[in-house]
Amino acid sequence: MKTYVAQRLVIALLTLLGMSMVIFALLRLAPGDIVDILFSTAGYVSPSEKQAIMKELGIDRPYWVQYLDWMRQMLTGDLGKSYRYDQPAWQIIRPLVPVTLELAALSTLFAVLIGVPTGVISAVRQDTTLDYVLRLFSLAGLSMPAFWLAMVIILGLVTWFAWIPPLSYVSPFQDLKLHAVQFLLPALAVGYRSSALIMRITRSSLLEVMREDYIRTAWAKGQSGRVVIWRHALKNALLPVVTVIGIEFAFLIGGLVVTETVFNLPGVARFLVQAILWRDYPIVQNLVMFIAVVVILSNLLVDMLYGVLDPRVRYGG
Amino acid sequence: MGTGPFKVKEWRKGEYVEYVKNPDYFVKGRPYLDGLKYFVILERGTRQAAIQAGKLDVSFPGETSKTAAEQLKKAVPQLVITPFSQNVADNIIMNMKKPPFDNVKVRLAVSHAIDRRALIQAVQQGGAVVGAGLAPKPWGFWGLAEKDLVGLPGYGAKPADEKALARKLMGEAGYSRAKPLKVEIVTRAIAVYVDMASFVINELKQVGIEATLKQIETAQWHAMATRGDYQIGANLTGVGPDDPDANYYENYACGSPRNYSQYCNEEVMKMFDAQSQELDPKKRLALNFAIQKRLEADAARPILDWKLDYFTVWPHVKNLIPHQSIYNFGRMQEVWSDR
Repeated sequence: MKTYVAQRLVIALLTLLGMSMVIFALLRLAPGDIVDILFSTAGYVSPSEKQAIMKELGIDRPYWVQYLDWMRQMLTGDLGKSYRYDQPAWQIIRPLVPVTLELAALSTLFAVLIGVPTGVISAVRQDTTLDYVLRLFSLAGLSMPAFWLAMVIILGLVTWFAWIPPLSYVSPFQDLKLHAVQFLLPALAVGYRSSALIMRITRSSLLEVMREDYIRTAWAKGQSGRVVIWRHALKNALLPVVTVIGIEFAFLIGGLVVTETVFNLPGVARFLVQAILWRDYPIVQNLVMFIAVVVILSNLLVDMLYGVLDPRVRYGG
Repeated sequence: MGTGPFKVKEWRKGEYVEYVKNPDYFVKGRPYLDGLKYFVILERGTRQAAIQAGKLDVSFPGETSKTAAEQLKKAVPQLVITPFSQNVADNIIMNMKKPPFDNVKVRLAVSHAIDRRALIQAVQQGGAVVGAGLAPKPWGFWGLAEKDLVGLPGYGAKPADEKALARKLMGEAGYSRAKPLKVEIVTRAIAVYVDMASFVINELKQVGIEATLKQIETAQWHAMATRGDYQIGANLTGVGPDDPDANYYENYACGSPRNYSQYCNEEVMKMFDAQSQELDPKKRLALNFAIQKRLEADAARPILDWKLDYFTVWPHVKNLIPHQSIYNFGRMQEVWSDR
């Protein structure tokens, strides 16, 4: 198991290094930079003043120097300074991270709590009315974009209760109840879509496992349905489900732009779009790197869970 | 900085700006309010829901369309809604330094093609009025009235005749059904711009101009327009005071960075100066009418409509009175709350 974990960690670090190069290169490939935007908005371009600002921001240096500087900064915990706000990047990024992490985690939790049980029930009651209803429920979740559902929730709340969640972030230390309400609604909107995917994967994976010989043997031994399904079948059916949960969580970290916008939550995704438009390299690089770290860590966690769930993975290599 | 009725208490990026009363304000006894809070809400539907739910006391000037105001009034009858002129015009900018819009026939064809009255009904749901370079009465003072617009490009009584004229002009410029003009129309990536641009594209298609839409983010929009890095654009132009000088010298004068079409006519420049120096109000008004007709005839920046706002406040907000543009009533010195 230790070798397995060590292998995964080395792969994760190499992936992060590769990601940093891709992020850096792609950002520089986009036309224009912050200096172009600032000067052209003012209506004129003075080459000497433009050069002076480029020098001040350090973007007149060769790309490889800028890249190495960024790597050095990251390793020393200094994320540089935002071009747009002239403030340390970490100071800007720090309040955004918990918002997105909490929203993504809650959404994933809802998705699992809804998706796995409904998937199991749907598989166990295959081709019954209950199965059809649950499949319809999941199909609706897949068909409805989360941002649309979010907007419907907002409009429903204002129409029926003349109330909407707070317009600015409420810290849990400030008001725990209001904080919970602020996050539960968007998490439900996002989690419903993800739960639909998890439900379908759970259902199909469980149906496949239920046809295995060892399950028939378990039934023949006279074991109860609960033991056969939850202990023997589901444990073996969970591998693809865990994979999907990991992918969904990773996707949510960067994919909550519209939900954050509709619920007016100051998260990473919404801010990242603004930073890209302003070519605010320190903010964009570090935010995308943060997303990459979360994606890689969630993949790592999924890999570890494979080992826990399936001994063949643990001992195979 | 430091002399206004309020001062900044807290700014949370992308969330809100909060102000508190300035105790050293030079007008004694003002402001009445202890503080103000401006929320940043990117989504249009959330903004409307926020005012309906009472999370906001006041809509942001320029934010409430006629339809939205009607929906709000139906949901919350006690809301106070005041229609007023935004002093913002929908218009078309065409880069006169580059083909094909260096050709006045092509520019005029564009102007003839767009049915202003249909635009007002379809896009603004009746929440705008027709006009030329300056806002018309009763919303403004200097603008041409609807009866004075007759005969100018795009203002004919029959839209079909206008489109036929546009097609004729395109033919004279060397374009035909077999050889349509293909252009990229830019607009700012904000809903009110995109709504209008989509309508314009459909109108242009009917006269043989095949336009594709390109949305430009705000950070790049002004830079792009100032540099002239575009062919044709669907634009909004706001003017602070309802005054000809403020508008002409900024948006139509030779060399002005905000003259996005890069229109430059020495004869018209002299007309700008003449009206500016004219002391007789009646003569100045007449000069302004002539200038506006000339600008439309040159398709300098065809004006499509002048937008109205349906400014919405809760009844406990007192003394917050809209002026003649969205820019001029944000001081909040005299505003008080009866809650």
